[in-house]
Amino acid sequence: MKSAIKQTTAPTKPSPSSQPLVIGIGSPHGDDRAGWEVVERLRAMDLRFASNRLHKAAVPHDALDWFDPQTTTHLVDAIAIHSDRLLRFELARDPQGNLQTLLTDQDQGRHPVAFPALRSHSTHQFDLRSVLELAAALNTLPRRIVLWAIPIEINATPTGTLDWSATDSNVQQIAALPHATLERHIQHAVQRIAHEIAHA
Amino acid sequence: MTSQRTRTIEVGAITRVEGEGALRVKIENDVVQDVQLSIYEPPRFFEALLRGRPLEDVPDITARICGICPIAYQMTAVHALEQALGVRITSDIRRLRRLLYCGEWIESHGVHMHLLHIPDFFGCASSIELAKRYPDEVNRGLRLKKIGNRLLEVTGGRAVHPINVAVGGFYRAPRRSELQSLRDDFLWGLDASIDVTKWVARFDFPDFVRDYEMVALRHPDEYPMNEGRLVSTVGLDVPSQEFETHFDERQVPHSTALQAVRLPAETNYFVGPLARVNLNRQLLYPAARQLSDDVGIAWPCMNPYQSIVTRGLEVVHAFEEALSIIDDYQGCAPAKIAYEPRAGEGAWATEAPRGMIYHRYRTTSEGLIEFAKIVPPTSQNQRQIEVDLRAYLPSVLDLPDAELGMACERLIRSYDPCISCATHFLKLEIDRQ
Repeated sequence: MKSAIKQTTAPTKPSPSSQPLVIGIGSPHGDDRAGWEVVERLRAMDLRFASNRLHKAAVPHDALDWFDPQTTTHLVDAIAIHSDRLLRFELARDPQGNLQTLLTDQDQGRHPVAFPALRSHSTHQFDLRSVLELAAALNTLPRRIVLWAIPIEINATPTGTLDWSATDSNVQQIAALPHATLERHIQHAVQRIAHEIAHA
Repeated sequence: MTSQRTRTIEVGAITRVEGEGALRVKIENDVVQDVQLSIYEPPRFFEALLRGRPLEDVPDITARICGICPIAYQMTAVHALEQALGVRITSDIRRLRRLLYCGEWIESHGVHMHLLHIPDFFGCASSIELAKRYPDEVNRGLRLKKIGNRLLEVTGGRAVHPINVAVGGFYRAPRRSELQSLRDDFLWGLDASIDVTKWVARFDFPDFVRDYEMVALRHPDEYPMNEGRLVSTVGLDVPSQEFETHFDERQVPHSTALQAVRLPAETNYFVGPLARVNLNRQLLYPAARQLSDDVGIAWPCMNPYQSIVTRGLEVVHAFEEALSIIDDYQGCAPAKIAYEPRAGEGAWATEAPRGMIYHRYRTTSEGLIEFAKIVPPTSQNQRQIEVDLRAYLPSVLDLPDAELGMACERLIRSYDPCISCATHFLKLEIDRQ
């Protein structure tokens, strides 16, 4: 079936800004709030950064609303991964044009990580990986995407479902343990994104 | 001696639906023995969470049940609480609420049609595959969704979990200029949504027509969103406050979602855009109404696969009505009706994108929530989906297990289930013997 789209009725799109975009993905709840929290703190800083360049997305596909191929875009999300530090990935393409991710280490070295490993545990079927693949298919993928992964701990059973056995003691552990660590990761993300924006 | 053949088909995680669930089908000697739509997301305890909270917190807390349809939860909650408090809102507030609901219908239907459902009709495994073949169409759908989100930002305070909805009205009414700024995009959206609806109406639909009881709200003067009587295709016609007299929820062992049934016979029933259009087609705005005559469907339509056409019609309607409200809007003062806390009880139903949603609250004289009951659309459709699968499976039993699983998922997706909402709720498992 051929495309039946009319090409003449769309209003003009606003011209892309030279400022980078920062999109925090998450919700107001628990550890999942990390992406939103980073955006809120960046908004509170005097970065000479237009407020319309900072966005909070509750579902990953909302990022498609703001993607612009010409604009560097920082995506911030909580990632269930065993790591004691904030992770910085950069999206790249391999020689065949397939998406891949590059993990930046502490010495600023970049190491390829298979893109399919970026698998989401989102309860929404259109997860972050799908959003990036869709944007690539539609040629709307920003020319440079930096993904800031804030590690959070998830108690998982072997089947991958959340462990709901909540005794008084493990509830206290769950409540207390991640807070200081998460706060450290959030603050670190804010500082590093602010630095990259300032030096963009 | 005959050998018994058992076939178990499992879809461990149903794809392209909102939330996580599974399907297990057991077939013995080519006879379907069992179909279980299993919702395994953990229960979320929202009703218990609301107890003891100030009633003012309810719209913001219930909005967080779902990132796709928060307005439905907010609207149903505020109307139920206003009934408990004896609050009467103005016609301006009422219209502004309908405008907000238009934004959610556009956004939610746009996402479901283009990212989740349309790929089925082209044999695409995902919208990414669809986007490679039909980039213009997918971009058009994403733009419709974006326009819906923009309306939510302007009227709801933000697109995600909007914060502007209050018991009694809105914390802040949008300025006329803010709504007028949306007008050009809405004119484009109206044309584009008509084209989308014409496109999806030409798809090949499985020949699967059933004898449903379809249930929706009906209002004498307007297409149902925020209020109306509960009506059905077999003659139900009662105030929405009588929901619990005519419907009830049942716990089933295989699901964390309750399954709603029609009383007294405990039968299944169907809610959603197909039910709404079947019961209210004459109340669609003119372009949507005309389009419903032109899409080649004999109404009432009892083919669930054609729900996608009714979603398109509702997007057209939403753009038309939104434009009408935007053009008439001169401000909304007061934005919020004052009230005094009182002991009371209120129940209300509205129409979420996925179907009718019901809330009931009891408040204390101090303005706290003493009791909350929330019945989302997906829990109402859950049993109907299982019944549909039982009826549909015999016609496709010759398919290999993997294809059979995909065929089941396709039928499920036509309902646009929101599993995260329903948990209090997809994997496919087919057991053939």
